[in-house]
Amino acid sequence: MYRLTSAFIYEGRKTWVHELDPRSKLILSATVMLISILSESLLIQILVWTGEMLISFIGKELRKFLNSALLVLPFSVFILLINYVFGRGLMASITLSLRLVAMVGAFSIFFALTPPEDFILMLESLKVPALISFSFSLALRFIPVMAEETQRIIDAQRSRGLKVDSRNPIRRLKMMMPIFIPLIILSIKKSMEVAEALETRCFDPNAKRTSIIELKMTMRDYLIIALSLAILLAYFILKCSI
Amino acid sequence: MIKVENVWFSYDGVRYVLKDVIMKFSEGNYIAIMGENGSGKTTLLKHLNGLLKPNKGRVLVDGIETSKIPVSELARKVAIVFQNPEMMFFSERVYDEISFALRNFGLDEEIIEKTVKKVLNIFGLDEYATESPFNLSEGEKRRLAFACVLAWNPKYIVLDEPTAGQDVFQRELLRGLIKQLTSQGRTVIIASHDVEFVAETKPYIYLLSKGEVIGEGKAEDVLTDDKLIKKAGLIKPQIVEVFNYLGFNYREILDVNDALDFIIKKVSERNV
Repeated sequence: MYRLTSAFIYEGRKTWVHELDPRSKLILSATVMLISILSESLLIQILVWTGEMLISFIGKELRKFLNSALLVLPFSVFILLINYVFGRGLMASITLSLRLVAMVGAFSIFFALTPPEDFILMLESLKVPALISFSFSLALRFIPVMAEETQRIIDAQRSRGLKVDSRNPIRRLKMMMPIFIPLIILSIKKSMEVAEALETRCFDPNAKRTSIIELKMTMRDYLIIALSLAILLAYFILKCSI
Repeated sequence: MIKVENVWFSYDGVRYVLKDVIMKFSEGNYIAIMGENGSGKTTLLKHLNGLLKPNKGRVLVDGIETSKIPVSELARKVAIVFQNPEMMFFSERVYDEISFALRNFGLDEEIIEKTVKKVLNIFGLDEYATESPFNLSEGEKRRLAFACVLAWNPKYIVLDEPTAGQDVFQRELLRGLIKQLTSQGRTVIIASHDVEFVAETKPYIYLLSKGEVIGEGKAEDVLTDDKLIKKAGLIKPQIVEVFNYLGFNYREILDVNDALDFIIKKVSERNV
């Protein structure tokens, strides 16, 4: 569980891709995602996914990127089957299922390659209210914590004889209750603890906050943005010419 | 008997959390696995009931390899109580919480009712049978966690950091429980870095450091071994430190009670 969700978590690695300005990475990820959403060509989807894979390879996060694909694989297969069964054609169904993988991959390359503090700074530089940007970044940081917590609960219940691998979907859903209830209760407790910890450290969402680090665009960032826009432009030209 | 044979384990396939671990837990024994945080204690415990399967090596529970049978079956023999009892609670009533595992094992309702009542009584939880587990105090929650696990009479009882956040009363209760269980011929395995508790209860000790067993032996041999204890990232029990400071080196003195017995003995010898 943790291994899969870690596909979206920055874990302190430093390459030049990690050190890029988060705004340029956001534009790059948004570009590939937009192309993936707009395109109905299987070739384009494959190209988008390969491109994302290349970026994650350069950022030494290929394993995480592949984990992101693994995470959505069941949904992707479901989309493929549903579309094929309802007569969409094999190629179109594969394209749709691959689109999901490519879109999630775009999220993975952005979040796995961006430190959370850069992410908050980016939101603040985009004038997002502090309360929203802080809550969002906090939620992001809590994903691995919750994933670990979920795994611990699953382990505790399996140790009490809970069978979590039933093939019957209703039975499976029923078996989720001993996992979801403790998870929800522990999450609420944890969020209250975090709120108290923030209050004791004088957190005020409306106060004007300063930062020791300031975001600065470098030549590399401008190149990435230019490249992203060029790819997007090329895609539109290609689409219009066909 | 549980045998851990040359077990290697890695979560990410890169860094090994357990390295060539060899251990043996016989019936009726009380064993402590000690080591600092991150030494691999909890990971090892999860191998004992098959929650984790070794990458290399094997774990045998009464001759059956844990990777060959499902956890739900192994759980009948090997019960684990995790550090945070709230992780396992989800029922509306304490009664249902205890009966959960019994239902999973397919026991008759009549037997379930009898067992739950007996366990409630043993752990002093009778009056809370219809209460929500979440309304109990921390100590009561801990007791309920033990009750949930001991209800099905497992042969091997594994406790992960059982003394974490426990007050004197709960520690005393735990001490009594361990004594009672081992006297019934059941095997109790604890993972802990609470040197004082281990010194008080004197189990057979395995020392883990960075996933490797760096030492094993009786409590009096391990806890008084300066080098070994330091290597495991632990400190000696306070009484041992005090006696060492005074220039004495008695391996049998590990806790206050031992020290008291020793002093009384010496004083009475002098008076005679």
